Order: sequence, then structure tokens, then C-alpha cells
Amino acid sequence: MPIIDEERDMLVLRIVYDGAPLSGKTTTLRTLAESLGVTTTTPEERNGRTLYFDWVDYVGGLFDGRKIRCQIVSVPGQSELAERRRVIVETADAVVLVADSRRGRIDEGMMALGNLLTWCRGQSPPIGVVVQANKRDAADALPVQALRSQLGEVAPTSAMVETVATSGAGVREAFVFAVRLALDRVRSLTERGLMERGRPKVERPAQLLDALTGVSVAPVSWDDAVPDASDSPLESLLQAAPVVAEGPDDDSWETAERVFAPDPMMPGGFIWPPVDGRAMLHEVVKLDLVPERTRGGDWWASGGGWRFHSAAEWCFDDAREGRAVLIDQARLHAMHVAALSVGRALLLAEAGGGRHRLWQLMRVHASLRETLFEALSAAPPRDCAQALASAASHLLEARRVFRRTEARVPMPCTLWTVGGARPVFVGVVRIAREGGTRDIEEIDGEELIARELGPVVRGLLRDRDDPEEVLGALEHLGACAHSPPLAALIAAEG
Amino acid sequence: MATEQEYINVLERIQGDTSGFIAISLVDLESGMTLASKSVRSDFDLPAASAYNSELVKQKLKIMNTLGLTGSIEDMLISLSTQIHLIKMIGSTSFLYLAVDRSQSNLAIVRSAVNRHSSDLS
Repeated sequence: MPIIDEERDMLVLRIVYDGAPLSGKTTTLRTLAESLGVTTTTPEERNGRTLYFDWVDYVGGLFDGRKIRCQIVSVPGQSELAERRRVIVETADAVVLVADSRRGRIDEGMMALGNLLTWCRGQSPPIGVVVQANKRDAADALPVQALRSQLGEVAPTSAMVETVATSGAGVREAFVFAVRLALDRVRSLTERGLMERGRPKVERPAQLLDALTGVSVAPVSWDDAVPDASDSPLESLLQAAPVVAEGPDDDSWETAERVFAPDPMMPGGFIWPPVDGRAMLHEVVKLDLVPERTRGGDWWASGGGWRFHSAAEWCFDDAREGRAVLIDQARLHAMHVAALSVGRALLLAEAGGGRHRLWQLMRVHASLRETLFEALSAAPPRDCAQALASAASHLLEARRVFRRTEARVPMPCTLWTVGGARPVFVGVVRIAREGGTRDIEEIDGEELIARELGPVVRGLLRDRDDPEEVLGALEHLGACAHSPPLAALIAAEG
Repeated sequence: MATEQEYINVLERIQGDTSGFIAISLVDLESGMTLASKSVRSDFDLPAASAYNSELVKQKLKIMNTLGLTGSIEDMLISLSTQIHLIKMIGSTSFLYLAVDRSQSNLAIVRSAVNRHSSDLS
């Protein structure tokens, strides 16, 4: 928990370095300490392995006129010391997850990340996580695109920095970004009146060592760290009261709209969710995506596994109006989070002439169309039939999930908008502004399957040189018995 | 993936082109923390100067916002009686902070040296 030390006029933060064994946590801390001109304290080591923690104390930077004091602490990576690790991680204001990015080691890092996120996402406001992809100089280091793809699966809202801890490459950048995320959390706590003041309970390594002495070394799980829905990041957005400028009272309203450029320095209160949203921006800012206007007036950009979208009508004459819509949309996203793909943020960005535009930022997930077509390509008739049956049940399940959304959040159920891995909505959310509604999709069952899979089956039968076999496999597939709509489609096509 | 040493190499090139050089740092705007730094004067508290200058830049951005000014800050020049301080924005999230001895340099030299090398930092 961050604390304002009024006596010393400092903001005290704790940045924790977590990660799988031998991922490079201690090396990172020692390199960082050297770069910052301070020393590292390690209470006890055995065979070069950390038994308790490594500690670095650093005063630098400024937040709201106060110096920032960072307690930089690494955890012991060994599995038998997991309880000590948990105690330290639970005191973090931001976490740098050090992951060995070599082939064969990255899975271990992603597992550690998944475990860590259970805890971090359960906190309010959530604790920001920076993934430090380490050992990038190794010959068998995974390509960066593959790394980003894996990160997108495990932690779609976390930022990644490539590092070589032994040389210091990227280490300071990862640390400074973690401080930024911690400051977002401080801002959010301050806005909610939850910021603590006084002396930190732990100020020296010896005090942390005391706290850890006697901690059991039994395995630990954070599986029960479930976020409280009533205490969501939306609350901090609601309570944030950023200074907003009125637009100029002249003709400049008519000037062309400024092209949006992702900016991780966007003011608090203009990003939802506050901490994860900024981490996502950090990821996309490197991609240099430039949105283009579509014929319908929407703005759109896509690349590197991310997508930006802004509906034509989502431009507001002033920031206050835009912020009201941002809060409304954030509330709807939060309500329907179970039906939406992960890795989404809402941003209210300046659009020139005092105007503001609301943007959706989302990770791109494979759609059912992509996974189905991949499964159908050159597959034997029986596999084709199974892929179709699986797609049919996936579509029907998605329809059931999407139906729970209200009229203001229509989620069309198509091969393009349903996720290939899970029955969640992976498309752009086209939410009506408050008070309005959009058309709701009504079709289901046979009608839905016929609309989505009919053309696929027809194409399959037309393009393959074994249409009879495919049809035979479809007719004989046991799964059809469990999917009457698919059976009906096959009968119609047959 | 720029290393801290690569940043320092750029800072050293600026140092080499600037007479009366005192100190230079690359600073994260949000936190005021230095990403790389170089100083020839032990009595010049560069981390503190960098941190307080980040507040200065943030205040200027707030002023621009309040006035409804569009566009962005390119650089900020502060002339003291004995020193010249130049702040040059590097993208939207960091800036370069340079302090030189005014008796041995002038504004044109300082600006030219920074502009010559600052693109290597983006």
C-alpha cells in the first residue's frame, strides 16, 4: 500500500520484482541499483539463490510536489519459498514480472504471470504489472511477436519491456514504467480518499526480514483473490475530477479533426480502466498505428495484435460531455465483462478545437471464422464435420451468452464476432449513447446456424473433390444428434 | 530496445558539442525519474533538478490545456544569470534536460547541439 510520509514529505512506493526461479530477478535488481547509484541489500543467499529478498532503496522523481521513495524488492523464486514470495507481492504497488524469454523457459514465466495476475487483478484499484521479457540476447530467445502473442493470451492488459539484465538493457525503462503504474494507483486511491498517511511500517530491510521470519514455506494459491465487483476501477473513474478545458468560443470548432495518436501520458480520468488502460497504451504506442476514417465516418486502426475504433458520433464538443459518455460506456463494459473478450480499454482523447473523441482500444482475438477455416483447410472429411459441429455449438453458446446483454449493448452473433477460443464477443462494441437503443439480433437456433454455417457448408461441398464423403461424415456425425440446428442445415444442403 | 548506455552515448555526444556543459538527463515526464544522466559537477543535484523540471513541464501542459491551446511543447528555455537550462521534449512521455554555463555558451549553440542529437533518443 503506498503511503504519504508527511514528516519527510515523501511518497513511499513499493515496486516488487517477481518471477519464476532463475529468471533474472536478482541480476535485474543489482544492475538497476548500480544504474541508480545505490546499493543492494540481500539478507541471505544459499548457492547464489535468494532466500528472503533483495532490497534497494531509491529516492528519485516527484509526484504532486513530493519526492518519490521507492522500496524496490525482489522475491525468492524457489517454489518452496512461495509463501515468502506471496507476503512480499501482497505489499506491492506495482510488480515487474521478470520472465526468461528463451524457448523452453517462457512457459514457466507465463505461468508465474498468470498466478500473479490472480492477485493483482483482485485488488482495488488493481496492481499494475510490467512484464520484463529478460535474456533477449540469448540465441534461443523467442521472437518478440511470439512473445507478444503469448502475453496477449495470458495477460492482455499488461505491458512488456524487453531486457538483458546482465547488460542493463531495458532494465531502467521497465522500472520507471512500473513507477508510472504505481503512481496511477496512487492517483486513484487519492481520488477515493483512501490514500494512507504516516510512517511506513517497513522502512528498512531488517524490518521486512523480521516480518518474513517465521512465515511458513508451504505452497500458496491466490485463487480466492476474486475482485469485489462493487469496488471496481470504474469507481475511481467516477470519482476522478480532472481539470478540463472549455473549448474556444470561435470558428475553430469547424477545423478538421486531429488524428488520434496513442499517448500513455493521457490524464487520469480519461482512461478506463485506469491502471490497465495505461499499460495497454504503453504497448500500442510503439506500433505507430495511425487511424483512418472509413466512408461511414468511423475511425479505425489495426496492427500488431491491437485495434482502435471510434464511432462517427463519438466526438464531443467539450471534455465534460465526453467524460460523461466515457463513464456511461465504462459502466456498460464493466457490467458485461463476462461476454466481452479481454484486453479492452476506453480512451477519451483530444481531437482538436476543444473537442474530444471516445476510442475503444482492444486486443485482437482470433474469431470463430479464423479457427473454423483453419480447421477446414485440407482436413479429412471426418475432421471437417467435427469442426463444423464444434462451430455450431460454439455459436449457439455465444448466442446464449450474448442474449444476457441489454438492449444498449447488442452483440451480433456471427463467425466474425464470436471468439474462436471462447464464446465471447471479439468485435467492436457499438453501444448506443445513453437513452438510445440499437437493433437487437433476434435469430437463434436453426436460423442462426443456417445463416452463419450455410455458406461454409455450401463452399465446402462445392470446392472439395470429395463432397459426398464430407456430406456422409456430416450425416453420420454423432454430434449432429446434439445439434439439431446443424442436422437441419445438413439435411437442407444434402 | 535502447540500453541505458546507448542513451548515455547520445547524451555524451550532446556534451561534446556544448561548451560550458554542466549536466544532462533524459527524464520520464510522469514520474520525474531519470532514464539516463551525465554530469560534470558533483554539486549539481541532477536527479532533483530533473524531477522538479518534470513538474515544470506538467504545469506548462496544464496551462496550455486551460487556454485551449492546441499543439505541443517543443522545447522550453530558461535563462538564469549564470546558466542556461534547456528542456527538449522527446515524444510525449519524456524530455531532455540540459544545463550549461552561460559565460561559456549561448542559446544558439545549446539548441543546435540538442536538436542535432535528440532524434537519436526517440
